[in-house]
Amino acid sequence: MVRKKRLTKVNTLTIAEVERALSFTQPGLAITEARDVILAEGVYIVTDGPNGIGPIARYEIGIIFPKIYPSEEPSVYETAGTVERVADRHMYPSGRCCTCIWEEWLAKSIDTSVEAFCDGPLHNFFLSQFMFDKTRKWPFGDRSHGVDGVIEAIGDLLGVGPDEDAARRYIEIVAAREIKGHWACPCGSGKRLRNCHNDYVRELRGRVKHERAQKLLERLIETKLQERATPMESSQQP
Amino acid sequence: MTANDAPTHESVLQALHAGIDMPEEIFEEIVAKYESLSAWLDRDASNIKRYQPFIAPQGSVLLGTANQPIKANEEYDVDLVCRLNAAKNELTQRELKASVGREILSYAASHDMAYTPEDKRRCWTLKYADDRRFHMDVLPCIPDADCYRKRLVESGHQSIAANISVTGQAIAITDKTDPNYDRLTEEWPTSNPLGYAEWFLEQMAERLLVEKRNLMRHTTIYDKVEDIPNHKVKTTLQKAIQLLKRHRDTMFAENPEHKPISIIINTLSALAYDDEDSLVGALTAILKTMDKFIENRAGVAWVANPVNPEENFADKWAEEREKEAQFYRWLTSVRRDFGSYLNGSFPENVPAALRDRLGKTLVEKVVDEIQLTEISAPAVITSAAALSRAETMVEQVRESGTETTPWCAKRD
Repeated sequence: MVRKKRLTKVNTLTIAEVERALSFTQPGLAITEARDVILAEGVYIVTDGPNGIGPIARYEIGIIFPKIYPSEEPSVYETAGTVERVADRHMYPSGRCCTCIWEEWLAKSIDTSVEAFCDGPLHNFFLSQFMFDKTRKWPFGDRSHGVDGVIEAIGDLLGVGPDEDAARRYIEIVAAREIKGHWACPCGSGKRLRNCHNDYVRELRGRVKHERAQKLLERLIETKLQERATPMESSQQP
Repeated sequence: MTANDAPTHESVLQALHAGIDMPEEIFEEIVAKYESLSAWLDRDASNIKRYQPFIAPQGSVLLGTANQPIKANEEYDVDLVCRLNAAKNELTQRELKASVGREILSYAASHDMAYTPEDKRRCWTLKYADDRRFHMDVLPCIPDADCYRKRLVESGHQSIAANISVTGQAIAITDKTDPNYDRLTEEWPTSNPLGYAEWFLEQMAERLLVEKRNLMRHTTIYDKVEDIPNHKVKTTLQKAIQLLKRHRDTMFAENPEHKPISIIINTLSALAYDDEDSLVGALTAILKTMDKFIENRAGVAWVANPVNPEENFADKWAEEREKEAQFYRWLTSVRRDFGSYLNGSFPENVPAALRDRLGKTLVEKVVDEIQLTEISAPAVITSAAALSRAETMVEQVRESGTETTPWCAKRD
């Protein structure tokens, strides 16, 4: 898999970090270590406490944190079948939860610690599931499935429209180790970069690290390959 | 019950803290007792009068983190320093210990104390009559500021050395197990409990001032904020530490040998504390991050004494791995127990684990006093109130700019 490539800095996640992120905020999750992963299993609480009132909803979940986190994403499972396991609920048949496009989150986040993941994508996912149950709307929106979702993510991140070619050109130029002014501008004008969106591209490269853009590009390529190999049933489309 | 007087996690925790805090009258009694002892040591016939003996509280009484004992028949443990203005070349550790001891023994005899003071490793222990409910550990010592500063400079801690209010109170103490106990030497065991207390106060200085200003609004006793003694108010840091210590004391009631020591809890809590104005906020900050402040110095777990970073409060961990293991066992437990309440329960529903740790009788009393009945939280709350609270949370996420969007890659 393309994802096996590492970011430049490889962490070794410790059980202490996961305990710090979860033991107090999610006391219903038991944290254990198993070779190359750290597991959190039990009851996940959506709560507005302690500064609010208390629990809003509970989900039975399991999280597998690879020790090479965040180079590799944690896998989150809803284990009780409370949430319908269909793509439109952002659930795989196995109960695995699609909390976010991992590489998009990495690319746009300064803090990518386990704590930030728990307070961010994990928290938002189950809050969103509760809200969707009540309102049939996703409070933070949701991505289209498959490659279209990745294109949307790149578009949002880099401020380009949901156009695959443009998204691809922009993410490639942000992912490059270095850029040259005589390169073609990713906007598609046919001009050289130095005579076109030079400033904008440099601003993007300042905001998104090239290694992280590279990961997002790899996700785009991988998703496309998977889609080509197994076309999705139209009924599963959003 | 209206929204205004509905119990909150904060109000319940505040009431629980009030239930374990050392009562004001005990504090006053302790002060009266050590002032009486101080006057005796300074009387004309005293063999140490020429050294201007000075007695002051140290430890939890000084830090404002003393709890009531868990059981009714247990005593308060009051730590005092007894400082003589003597120099190291004037007397040995043994002579200092003995000369203070002579006066303490005569004090006990002339005050008809039921128990003879005991000569311990570093201190003299005065046990009062059974109904007094406390004993005092008096630590004989002499000033040691210059040596202390010199050592700090030598080990590269110039900024601490320059902080007179911290270093000026350093002391040399006696220790029966010290090889130099009987020798006239400059090499004495050192300590700085009053300097540590100064550092502790600094960590909560802003909150202390806020609490004193609050008190000024409710009393006419004091002319100005500066007149209010520290022990008259209590910060969220002190209260949080008291709750943590109570949790520890009940957790290790049957196995006190390896219980995490207070100085480690105090130090890590004060470092994690960020002037939170609520007890809930202080506990949250402390429990989420306190272990981040345990350093790793070449493989050795190090809880640095903030007023002497070369001293490791966790030095016993290297000798007895069990102590380190028990600290982390406690940390996981205290995080879960307070987390189950603050993040997993409604304010009126104190989970059984926390109730046991803070004292079943106390928790039930507090719950009764706030006129509550315990209810269990339903697994999923489907009311409109839950939805509106969830909507508020959605708003908070949006405001913090940490929205994330779910996705599906089409196949697992």
